[in-house]
Formats: sequence, structure tokens, C-alpha cells
Amino acid sequence: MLRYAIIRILWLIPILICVTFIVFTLVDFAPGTVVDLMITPSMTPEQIDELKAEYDLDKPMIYRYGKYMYNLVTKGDLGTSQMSKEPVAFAFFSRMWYSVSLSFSGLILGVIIAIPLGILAAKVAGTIWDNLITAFTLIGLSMPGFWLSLMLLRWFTFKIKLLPSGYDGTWQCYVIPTVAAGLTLSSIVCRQTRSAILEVSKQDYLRTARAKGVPERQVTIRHKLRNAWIPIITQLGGLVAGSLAGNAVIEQIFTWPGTGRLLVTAINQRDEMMTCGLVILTATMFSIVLLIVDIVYALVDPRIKSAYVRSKKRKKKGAAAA
Amino acid sequence: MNETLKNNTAAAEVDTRETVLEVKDLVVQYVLKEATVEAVNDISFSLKEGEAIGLVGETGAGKTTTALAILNLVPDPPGVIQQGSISVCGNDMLNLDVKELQKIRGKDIAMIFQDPMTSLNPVLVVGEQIAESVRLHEDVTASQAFDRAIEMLELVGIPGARAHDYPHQFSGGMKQRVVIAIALACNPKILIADEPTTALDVTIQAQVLSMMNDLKEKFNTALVMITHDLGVVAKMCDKVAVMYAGRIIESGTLEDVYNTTLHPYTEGLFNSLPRINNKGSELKPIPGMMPDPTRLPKGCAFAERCKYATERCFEERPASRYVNETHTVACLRYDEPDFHIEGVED
Amino acid sequence: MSKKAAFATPDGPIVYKKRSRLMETWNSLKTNPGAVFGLIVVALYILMMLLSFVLYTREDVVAINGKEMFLRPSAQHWFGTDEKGRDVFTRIMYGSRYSLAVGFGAVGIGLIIGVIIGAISGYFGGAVDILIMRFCDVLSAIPGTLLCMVLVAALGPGLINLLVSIGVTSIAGYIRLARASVLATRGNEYVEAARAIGMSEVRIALTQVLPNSLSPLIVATSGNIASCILSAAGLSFLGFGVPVPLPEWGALVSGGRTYMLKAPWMTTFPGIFIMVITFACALLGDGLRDALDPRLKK
Repeated sequence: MLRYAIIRILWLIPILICVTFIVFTLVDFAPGTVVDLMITPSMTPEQIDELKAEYDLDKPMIYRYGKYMYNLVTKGDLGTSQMSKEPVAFAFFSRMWYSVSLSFSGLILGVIIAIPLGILAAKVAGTIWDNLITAFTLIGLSMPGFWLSLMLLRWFTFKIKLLPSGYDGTWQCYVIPTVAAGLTLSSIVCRQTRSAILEVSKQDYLRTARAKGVPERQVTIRHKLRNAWIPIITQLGGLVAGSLAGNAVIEQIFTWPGTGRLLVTAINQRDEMMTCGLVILTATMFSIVLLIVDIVYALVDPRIKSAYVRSKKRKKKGAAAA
Repeated sequence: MNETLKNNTAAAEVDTRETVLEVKDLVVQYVLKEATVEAVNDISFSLKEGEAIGLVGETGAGKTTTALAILNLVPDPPGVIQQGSISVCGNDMLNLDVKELQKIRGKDIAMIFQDPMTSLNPVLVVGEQIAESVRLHEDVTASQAFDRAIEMLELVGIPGARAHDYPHQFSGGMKQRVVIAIALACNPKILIADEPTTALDVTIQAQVLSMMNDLKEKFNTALVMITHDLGVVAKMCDKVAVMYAGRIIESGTLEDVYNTTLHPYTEGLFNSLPRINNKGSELKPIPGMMPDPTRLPKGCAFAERCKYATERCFEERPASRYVNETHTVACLRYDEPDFHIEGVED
Repeated sequence: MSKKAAFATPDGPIVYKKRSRLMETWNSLKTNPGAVFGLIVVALYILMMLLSFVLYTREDVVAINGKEMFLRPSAQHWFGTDEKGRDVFTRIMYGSRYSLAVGFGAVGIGLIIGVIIGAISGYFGGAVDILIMRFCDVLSAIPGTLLCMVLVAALGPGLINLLVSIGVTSIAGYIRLARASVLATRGNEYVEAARAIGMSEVRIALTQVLPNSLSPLIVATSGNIASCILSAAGLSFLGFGVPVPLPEWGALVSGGRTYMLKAPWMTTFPGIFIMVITFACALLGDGLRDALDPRLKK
């Protein structure tokens, strides 16, 4: 197991290096540079060239990438924002908490609603109730988060003045963004739960359990859910990872001090260093979360777990024979 | 085979044994939007303790549905037990509440399922799956139940240490042994084995069968053996019931059915077996296919494939008749006093 | 639930009729009320788009009319007017082309490129396969929304760029799916059988492997259209999509934000239009999945 985890972690390194290259190239390719916004009509061409040279814009892209990677690898330095002069890593980590807390509150809300609802839908599969739940989840999937946010803002903030319109540090300010972020998420989880349980419900081993005289409740808990939650947690992990970056729109609406809004601002300002660094850091977090999910997945599914354990044993035997 | 036959007849003579299973007039259908599948049509049989009956027939004859009906586990919907009664050790299986049923399943009556690959829960260790049954039906602690599971594994020829392994770590034959261990965990009075060896290699088949035979004798378990393999029946059973399109068309002791075959379908079954002694003889398969169970003919279901069929066979449904005390056959032609089938070739 | 052509009793399967796969899919869709509803809605949206080409010019939707600002919905302006006196209904109708173009276009790009690369990867295996799969690993290490935003920023604003960005973002998923599907199909015995009777590799790929690998792709595609429409709206809302005076629906919602109290219709109606088309596509996707994936039939 440990070996598997280590291989997976090592494997992340080349992938992330490729990510830095792709992101750097894309950001560099974007029309306009940070300098464009600084140029004033009174500047002489020499001054402009000087400004460009300050950001290495007079050199080829590969030079800038090399320099960037050199700083990243040797000093762990992701550079500083070209606009606010704030170090990128500091900007990211100081705002990460706000994004993570928002995605987690969305996730918790989603899971609390979605999993019981999914189990219920599977239980009443084929009936009108199942259709209603399915329709509800489809609406949840189709509702644009930003639109829902605005509708909720209109009613709960402007009409009845119950909840704040943006981030103010209180728990109330979490309510609307959480609902907006959690709705889509819970719809996805609910659908996955339903289909995972229905898939498991068809398995022969449930019949074996019933023939043993296992009460139906136990059949559901021990036999159905134990098998069904494997695909469910896989999907949940993916959603957590995705929501680390995916709430940019909601953050924008609620002036949330998170990384998503920071990125939107950076892109709009053509702040290459910030954009690049934020994407790289988010991608790293994202990959780490996915990696953890994979490892958990291997731990809860004995079929996968033993596949690794066994291959290790076999290799050991092979080594001993040699 | 002769020896088994002798044993059987001997057993039949001194019959003071208790009847443990009685199926009467059972009708099971699958009611779908498009059509109704008539899976089991009015079958009856009974079984005494320690006795073994073979339910023989082609795929789709209604054998598995019968077995599930005995446990009252026919998948519902779409399955409906339309009529009949089933008594397991004196309990009326079709009219008990769920709690009582759960007490009987696994304890008084257990079932070995057809496909060992899919019958075990992949995320529970096998010991746990055996122990679950013990824990449910006996007043034991979890660790006692697990010890019992280890014992059961050893009984079916698997080292006890493997109780902590998951199903995917076992081979097919081993999995089938585990399934058997689960079924036998609480010493059931009746064991239903649904094609327990179909998914296995021939050599493993023989091992599993002889093991089942030993266990059956050891615990004096009554056995319902569902199979399409007439050889397995000869090895394991005292009685045979041949099923066709959801009906028992011939039943009796092994000797009745094997040595004095009466029904044309049973004859066809025997004739379609390859014979090792007479390699020159040709296989004589039964022509045609089983009728569509959603549209059973109004006469004898076998008439269309039967070489003895008369016009009457297509019009009237034959009732079961007793030929002697143990042997029944459902064929209209036996209304004619001098009718006899050509007989099974040797 | 979908109508089934076969039912498995514990004693064995019961098969009623054999129909061609296309017919069976169609029949299954036809009897699924959700799918029919989805199909009708999608057809209505397409009709709306076609009508908008005939009825309105670009001028009609961007021209400023200072006299009719913030009018409530009325018989004359069904969905009211916006801060520049433009009719919201007209703008929504005109904007249908963007959502539909992005939904179908992005999926089309992702699907075509993804399937070709994925099929190559699955069919040939070896070094090509390894290279392609590592490329997918890299692509999917960047969260989709981020990749999309960076791509749009790199390519610049505009419908085509938006469409390409969303399409490219979904490529890795399609490659994996197509590869898995081809691998699963390639191992089947009927492919062996085709090889045994001397069919050429190309012919096997086209006549045996491809048609039998399509189902999971079609299912994924139909579901993906909905999410592409949503991403496009989200990106436009952030200002990364179709440039401003043009009435992309996400941009309309964004534009109405400032006037939410004064003119709530400016945000409400475009949002509903996004939701309904997404909902219809999702329903259609579910219907197709039920029809094509026999594993999910109950």
C-alpha cells in the first residue's frame, strides 16, 4: 500500500512539471501583457521598452519559463504579482482557507441531503417518488449557480434583508453561497448514490444474504451500502477536488476573498505571474486530493487493495528466487 | 449406480422419517407489462428428512423459480406466487410474516446458489459471510460465530486461516465450497442446491459433489438437487422429478424413472446423453425448443416435440397419474392401455 | 423507466422480439416521457434560434433606445427592457445561437478529437498509447474550470474561442472513454471471429469495433451538452465569453446584476432559459442512457 502511495506521489512530479509548462505557455500566449495596463500616453518609447525589459518581455518565452522554473525549483518561489507586488504563494495560501471552507460547507450540505435522498430514490425506484427525486436532481444540475445565487440574493438579502450580500466573516454570509454551491453538488451525488445502489441491488450476493435469513435492514446496511459507497466516495473525492477551483463564479458574486476570485482578477489584469502561480498551486492541490481519494479507494475496496499487496508479494518471491 | 439404487429402495421400505418439505400445487408467474411468464405451473412434491430429490430439466423449466419459491424469495415484483402451499418443517412459508421467515431461512432451510462467482459479497471476508448466518440464528458471540465459520471452512476442505480472505482471492471451486459452507453453517434440515456444480470444472465438480454427499449423510440433511445433469442425480438423489415448462411431467424413485422410464420427454433426455459403452450409437437430440413461457400451448407443452403426440395431446392438458406408489407420469397416451415408449437405448 | 425488450427470470432470459438497435433505441426514447419532453424542448430552442436569424439583425439587439429603459414586462415587451432600452425577449432569442452553438460545438470538438485520439490509443496500444494517456493525465491534473478560464484568456474573447476552450477542456475525458470502450470491445469474441474469417484490420475497426464502442460515448455526449452550456454561461458571466453588447445568456444575467432590484426581469428570464435548455439536454441524456446502456435497464 505504502509503495503504491509513494509511486503515485513520485508520479505527480513529472505531471505537475508538464502542467507548469502548459499553463505558462497559455498565459504567455494570451493577448496583451501586464505592461499594456501600465503604459500611459506620456511615456516615451524608451520608457516603454524599459518597462518591458523589467518583465523580461523583450526575451523569448522559453527564457522566461526557464527563469520561472529555476526560481520555483531552487527557491520554491512562484514569483510576485505584477500588479499588487504580493508574493503569489502567500496570496494563494492566505486566501485558500476561504475557498476551502466554502467548498466544504457546500459539500457537507450536499452530502447531508444527497445521500439519504439517493438511497430513498433507489428504494422507491420506478415509482412516482423516484421520478420526482430524479426530476429534482436534474433541476439542480441544470440550475446555473450564479443565477441561483442572484435569485437568492434578491429575496433573502434585498427583499427581507436576512442575509449579508457578501463575505463579512459571519456564519450568515455562508448561507447563500453554500446553497448555491451545494445544490449542483448534491444533485450529482444523489444521482450517483441512486445508480450505485440500484446497480448493487441486482447482485446475486444479496440473494445469498436473504437466503441466510438476514433481515432486510441488515441487507441494506451491510451488503448493499458497503458495496455501493465505493463509487460514491470516488465521485465525492472528485467533486471536493473540483470545487477547490470550481467556485470562482460564486466567489465573484459574493466578493468572497478566495482563490477563485483572485484568479479571475489576475486574468482580467493580465497578471501573468499570479495567473500562472494560482493555476499551478490549485492544480497541485487538486492532484493531491485526487491522490488521497485513490488511496482511500484502494483501502476500502479489498479487490484493489489486495491487487497491490499481492503484486508486492509476488515481486518479493521473484526476488528471493533470483 | 446399482449400489445406490439398492440403498434407495432399502430406505424406502422403512419409512418412519418425518416429512420436512412439502410443496403443493405451486404456481409462480412473473407478471410483466408486456406478458405474463408462466414459470411454475402447479407442481407438488415432498421430501422426508435425509432424503434427496433431484429436480431435472432444461434451462427455463422453472427449477430455480421453484427453489426460490420454497424460500419465499421469488423476486417481487415481477414474481407472484399465484397459488399453492409450501411447508418447511411444518411452517407455512407463504403465510408467515417476514420476521418468522428470516428465522427459518438459513436455519431450517438453506440454499446453495448457482453461480459462485457472483453469490459472495466482494467486500466482506468469507469467514464473516459464514459467521453472519451463525450469529443470526444461534445465541453466540461474534467470536464464537467466527470460530464456527473457520470450522465450517475446514469441513468443506478450505484451510481455516483463509477465513480472513476476500472472495476474489479464491478460485471458482473454492468459492463454491464457501457458498456451501454458508448454506451448511447452521445445520439446516433442508438444503436446496441450485446447479451447484455447473460453473465448475469436471474434476472439481466430482470433488464438490462427493463432499456434499458426505455432509448430507453426516448431518442427515434433506436435499433438493436442481440440475440438468442426470448423472449428478443418479449419484446424489433418492427421488427424481423431471420438469418441463414449469410442470413435473414424471417423478418417482431413481429406479422408477431411470429403469422404467415412462414419459417421452424423459426418454428424450436419456437418449440425448452420449453413451460411452456404445460409441456407434448416434445422439438423438430432442427436436425443437421449449415453448415460450409467456404463451404456453393449451394442450401438453411437450406435444410439439413429441414423436408420440396425437391430436388429443394438442388439445388437452395431461394430469399426473400414479403408475405405482411412487411413480407418477403426466402423459395422455397412457390412457391407452397398451401404449409404451420405445424405451431408452443402451 | 424504459421499456425492456427482454426480461431475465431466475430460470433464464425471456426474449420477446429482436429489433434493430437504432429502432430499439428510438422506441425506448419514444416511450420515455422525460426524453420526449427533452427532445421537444431542444427542438423548440432550435426553432427559436432559426427564427431569430430571420427576425432580428445584430443591430436590433445592440441598438440603444433611451426612451424605453427598464420597462416592466408587458404585451409589447414580453420580458421587459434593459438599462439601454433594449427588449429582453429579443435579446434572449438572439442569444440562443450562442448557447446552442457552444453546447453542440464544444461537445462536437471534444468528441471528434477525443474519439480519434482515444481510438488510436486503444486500438494500437504500445508507446502511442502510453504517450496519449500521460498527456491525458497532465490535462486532467488542471481542474476543468481553471483550464477553461486560462484557455479563454489565452485565446481572447469571442464565440469560437469560447467554444474551442470548452471543447478542449473535455477532450481528456473523451479520450479515456473512447480508449476504454475500444479496449473493451476489441477483446470481444466477435472481433476475434471477424479476424478469423479474414477481415482486414481497418474493416474490423470500422465495422466491428467502432459501432460497438459507441454507446458509452453517445451517453456521455448527451450528458455533456448540458454541462457545456452551463460552463459557457458561467464563463460569459465572468466576462470571459462572448464580448459584451452581444446577448449571450450568461452575459445577460451578469449585465442585469446591477439592476436586480430595479429590473429583476433582466436576470430572471435569461437564467430560466439557460436552465430549461440544460434541463432538457440532461433529460434527453438520461433517456439515451436508459435506451443505450442495457446494464442500467431494470
